[in-house]
Amino acid sequence: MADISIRNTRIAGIAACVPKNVDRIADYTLISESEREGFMKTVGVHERRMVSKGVVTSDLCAEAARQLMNKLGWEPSTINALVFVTQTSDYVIPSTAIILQHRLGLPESCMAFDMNLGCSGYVVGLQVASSLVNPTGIRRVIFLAGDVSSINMSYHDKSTYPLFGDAGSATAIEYCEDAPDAYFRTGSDGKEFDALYVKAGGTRHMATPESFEYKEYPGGIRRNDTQMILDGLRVFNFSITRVPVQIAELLDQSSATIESTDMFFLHQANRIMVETIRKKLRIPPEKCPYSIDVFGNTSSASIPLTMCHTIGNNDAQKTQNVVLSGFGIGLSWASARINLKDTLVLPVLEYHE
Amino acid sequence: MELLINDFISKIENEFEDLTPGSVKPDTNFRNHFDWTSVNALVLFSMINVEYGVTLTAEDL
Repeated sequence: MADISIRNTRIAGIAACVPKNVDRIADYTLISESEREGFMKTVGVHERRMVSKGVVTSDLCAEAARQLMNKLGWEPSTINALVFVTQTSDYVIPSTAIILQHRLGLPESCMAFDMNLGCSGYVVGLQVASSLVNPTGIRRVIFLAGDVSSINMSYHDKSTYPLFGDAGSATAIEYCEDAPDAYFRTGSDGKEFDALYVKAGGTRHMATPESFEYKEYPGGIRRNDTQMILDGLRVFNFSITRVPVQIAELLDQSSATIESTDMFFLHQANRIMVETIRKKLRIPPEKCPYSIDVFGNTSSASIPLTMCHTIGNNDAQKTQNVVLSGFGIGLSWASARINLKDTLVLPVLEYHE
Repeated sequence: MELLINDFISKIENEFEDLTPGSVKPDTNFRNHFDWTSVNALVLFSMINVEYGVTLTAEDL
């Protein structure tokens, strides 16, 4: 695991944007009423937001970025880099970040690139984006993260369809000489890649007409090879084993404790998974907020979305020392301890088409 | 050992509202005892991991 600390950068602001369309688990009649009740209670999703046809991740992130930059008074011409974490890019190629450079009116001198990560993507992306910052060259970075996971799910797969929601986020990062240090730890385990993946559409298994044919799987599940496969128990065991250890090591690395940390923003994978991690670390419930109940699992946007949902536009100054932890697809896991002093956290934004 | 089993059973019964306290015995096949789903498996795995530090797998079920 990498032991990383980053100096002289601050997070100026955070914003998250969700679609207007609300989809309620109570209406998911593919499963029985008792299964829906059990799902809502244990997994924690009661409703989520889903994009309309034609709306994609970059649209949500661009809206979050525009509103954030406007509130911060950041002119587009002052942005030196754009990093976009997503697994639902506009096109296979080129990087959507470059398209966003144009859409957001950023200068042509701006560095722009995508990072293909999901659940861990906000923390890994935050570390990468922050590490670009230096006093003479890249002083301001716009970091975007999100996914429209709904487009990769089979309605007939009860292990994935009711879990995920759509969201995008924007984080503004800048050089600041006396900013508190930020600490990061990351981990990767490619041996377990097939615990959570989409099989067809890359170069390993090129998409063919057969890729779109639905196949039957145990438990009444039907999906095709372009739709997400999730081995829930494997991902669950990975998360409850790896994440508490990483967070404990992070606290030690940053000379911090559970008590000295104001809030823990954990990836909204599913409620019982997060609760298990919280209990193992003995984090008080009031320090571990949720957004999964109303937004579902929103992939790399879940951490910033939970921050906006919890402390958006109020009480941000009372929540300064926070731990972030993202874990899942890859398998990949990353945690950070950062300071939100003077960070503008916007309330959750809604995307208007 | 009896104390440990009874404590274990008690913790299982606490996790699942459908289970009547005292209905689960040491030799109960819990998967046949109530409406067993993959979501229930997560609840059981979580309790065992938090309370006993043991990580179960799908094969262990």
